[in-house]
Amino acid sequence: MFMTFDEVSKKIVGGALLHVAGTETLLKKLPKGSWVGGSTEYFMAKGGGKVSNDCLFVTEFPYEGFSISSYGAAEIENVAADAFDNGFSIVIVPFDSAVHKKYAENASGFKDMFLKNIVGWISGMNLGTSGQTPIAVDGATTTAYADKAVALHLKVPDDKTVAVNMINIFAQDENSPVIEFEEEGFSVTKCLVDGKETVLADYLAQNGIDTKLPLVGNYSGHGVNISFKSIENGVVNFYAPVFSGIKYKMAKGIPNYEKEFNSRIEGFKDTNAAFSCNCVLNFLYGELEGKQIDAFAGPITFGEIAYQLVNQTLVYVTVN
Amino acid sequence: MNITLEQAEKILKGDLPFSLLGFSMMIARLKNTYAKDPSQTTLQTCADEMNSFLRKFKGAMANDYSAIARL
Repeated sequence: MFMTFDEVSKKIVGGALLHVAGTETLLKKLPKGSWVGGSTEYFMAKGGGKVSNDCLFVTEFPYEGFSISSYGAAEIENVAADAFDNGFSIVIVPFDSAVHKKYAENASGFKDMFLKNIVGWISGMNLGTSGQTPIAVDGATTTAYADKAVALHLKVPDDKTVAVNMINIFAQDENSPVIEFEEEGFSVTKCLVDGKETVLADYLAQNGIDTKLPLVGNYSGHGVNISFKSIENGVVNFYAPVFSGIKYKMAKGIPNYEKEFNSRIEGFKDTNAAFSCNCVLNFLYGELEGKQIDAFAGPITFGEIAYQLVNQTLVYVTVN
Repeated sequence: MNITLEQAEKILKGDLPFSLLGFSMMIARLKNTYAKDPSQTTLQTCADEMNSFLRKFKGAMANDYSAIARL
């Protein structure tokens, strides 16, 4: 729910258990309480996409069992092990921090990662405003971290079942060659295009590839996106790491983002998500500001976490 | 429900799709691990991890397990 600073403060003082998304400035002024926060100025609220530096997006949880923990790059491997057996955890990771890199490159190997329900997002800033720092906030101590992730571990009642899901409007383009990587990470030079070693930047240029479309990795029936960040001096930089052993293809083009989003979400309109977040690249490339996406209100983020880091994807949790 | 070593090997070497996101992502990691070290020890470790997932999420895994059982 989109709320004013005073409304959120009252909720915190009243003892509510909250996830809060908003600007670095506002988050740092909130009172101590049972909350975690992350910085963004982009939101998908009831009524449409919004950019705001004077309101906060709040998700309230009805659960009694919870814990809040912070994790530096050296501790983040414990995040899933610390999660409740029956529950879910929301992990907020500051963009471009060491813990962001560590999580992105290693999360799938963390202890218990797929035996717990782990979601979250990469915090960011207004892309048009300089001087802002992506942060994650532990509201119990009101400590704002630029170099640590903060997790809200939630325990749900034993008769409830949690599910982590994602909605990806992109699919592999069946006409794309298979692109594989022997070097892993956020930046690569070479790849294999249909098995032939190729300089990726050259391949993209020579084939007129639209880098607003992501690479889509095939994860046993699920498409996992890797978004292009930039191409500099022959090096292709991504918003999430590519991995060896995954068969990627370019995404199929989408003529109308808003239409495609609503069309995909139509099938989920009765979903009661306990938490959701959506990607800033969907927001920007889809020009979603002011446009109504009927379900799944939440922060617009700089990377989404559905167990591991994904891009250009809507991630949500259900508790049934 | 239990995944045998033979079924685990077919999963790791094949392209069977799964409906559960967490299982799919876990299988992607295990495939990579097994490709780098296709030993019996690794296969057993991978099968154990699959079965841990199956035990924890047996309700949600019913459809996926039906496909695995046919391997």
